[in-house]
Amino acid sequence: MNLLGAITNLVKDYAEVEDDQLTRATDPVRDLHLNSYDMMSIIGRLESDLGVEIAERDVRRLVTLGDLDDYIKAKLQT
Amino acid sequence: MIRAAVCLDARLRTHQGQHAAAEVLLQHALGNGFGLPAAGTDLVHDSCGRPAVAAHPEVHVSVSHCEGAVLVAASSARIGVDVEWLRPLDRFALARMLNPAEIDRVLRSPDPDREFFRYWTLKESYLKAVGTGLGYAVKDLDVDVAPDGTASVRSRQAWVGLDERFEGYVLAFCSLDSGPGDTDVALERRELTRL
Repeated sequence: MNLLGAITNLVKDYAEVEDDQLTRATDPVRDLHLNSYDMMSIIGRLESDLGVEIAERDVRRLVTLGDLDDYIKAKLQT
Repeated sequence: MIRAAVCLDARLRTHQGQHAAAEVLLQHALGNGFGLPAAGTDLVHDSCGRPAVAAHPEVHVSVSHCEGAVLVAASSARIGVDVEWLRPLDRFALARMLNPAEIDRVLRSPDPDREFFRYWTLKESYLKAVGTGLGYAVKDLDVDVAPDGTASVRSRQAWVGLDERFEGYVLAFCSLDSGPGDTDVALERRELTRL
């Protein structure tokens, strides 16, 4: 499974949503109505599952699933 | 005075429903607390998503929602509120949001789930009052919760308080100001049918 697939699978644990509703442009807060607690849980799980650190200062600019995908890919390459 | 209103109803499951309920609750709080007519309470949001009354920047408002609950507040003080429903704590959120001393206190608590959501909602209420939202170094925010539920934030000019009168929910309030009445909370529960 690619990284975006892993991210969307994780998001589906927190939102009642179909696969075709999740794209790189999906904003989990605006489009799926997840709250801060959901987002912190998701980010924490991504860190644990993928072995990356997502810095607090970066969280605010990770708006869409595509942002998360790009950010984690860059982290995994460094 | 912090004029707050809460609605607890299992039907509040969608963001649209929660948003609609929050608007009505806020109009109620602004009308009762500040004499503002409903027509003059349109909200705007800043870049961090913090709401404000467009025509009355002197009034501070805060909104929180979770599954089954909406909490709003209005005050002349800078405030933040948060509500969460009690459920098993998420260990990833625990590690992400609480510092080691807080995690230790949560895990040693006779009711770790409730203790966790006390810390979580208190931190969220502070972040909302400050207006930074997610992205703040939240682990650096040291929160204390005494066994009787009295709460405080270390090294910050802020008052925080918990309200756990409603079964299954934890409510938290924060005021960054400490003038007369700035930390007095007048909380009213409203029913969905009466919104």
